[in-house]
Amino acid sequence: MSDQLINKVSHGLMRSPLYREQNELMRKLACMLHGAFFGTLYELRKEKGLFGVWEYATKGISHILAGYLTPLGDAKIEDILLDLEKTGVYQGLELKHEGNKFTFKIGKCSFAGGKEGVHKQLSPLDMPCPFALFVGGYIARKNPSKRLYAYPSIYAEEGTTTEMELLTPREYEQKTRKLAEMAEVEKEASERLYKVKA
Amino acid sequence: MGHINKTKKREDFDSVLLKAVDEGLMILGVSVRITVYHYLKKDHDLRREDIPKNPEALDIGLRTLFGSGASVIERHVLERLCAKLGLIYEEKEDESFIHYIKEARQMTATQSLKPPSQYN
Repeated sequence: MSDQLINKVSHGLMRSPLYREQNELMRKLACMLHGAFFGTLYELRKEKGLFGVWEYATKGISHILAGYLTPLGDAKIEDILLDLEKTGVYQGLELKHEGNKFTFKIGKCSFAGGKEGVHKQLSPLDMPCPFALFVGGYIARKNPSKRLYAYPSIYAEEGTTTEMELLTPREYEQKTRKLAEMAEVEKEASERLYKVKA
Repeated sequence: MGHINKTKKREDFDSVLLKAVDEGLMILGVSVRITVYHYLKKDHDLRREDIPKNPEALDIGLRTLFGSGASVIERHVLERLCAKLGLIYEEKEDESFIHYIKEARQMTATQSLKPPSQYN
């Protein structure tokens, strides 16, 4: 089939009612997941602090894979990312992999920028990005003998970069225990500061 | 006299670097900063006041904790450090945090420092 014909066919498919319906479904899924996760994590961030919300977020990856990823079946992550880009919600999605480390980059996220953008409410380095957690869930599902640990995301005005790492269950246990310990220290520090201010 | 000046300059640079680290960590908030200092002491045997003597341990500690996100904190530290020393911070992809600190230390050793009260 010539390139021209392929383009014509794919363009036709993109305009088909089924494609539009799937695209709309994907867009709604992306908006709903981002809204629900961001809202929850942001409130937890205020309550539990950075280390507390980080612990919740990284542990939450296993819950994500149990529920939301099942309907996606055996779809490849590259295809899922392409479909998500087609919705227009996200642009410039990039997943790089080196050894056990993964770097997920979002060039532009519809929710991020502008006066009303959610990134304005965060530090340049903050709780893991909700969409990165979704991608992390996918990586974890493909590597059942390992555990996926997410680092805080780097927030730019329009996008994010998140590093994730596949760890042995023992390494994962050590890291998450450390996060829990640091969450306690942060909570105590925060309470002390609150008392001083009061 | 020369020796006294050199020691004074080193002390001045060390205190400016400590202030820059304090301010760099502030992008995460006060309570996170306290927690990070606690972690550095406990897990990397690095007290806050020893950071100028051993910035490598700070780099390792931050990278172990935050992964590549450590570079965000380090960039803020370097921006604050350069602003305080009246140097221009130009980010280069291949240069490490430690390289910049060494360079800033060398540059300030060869020029006269402002009295500590004049640092922003």
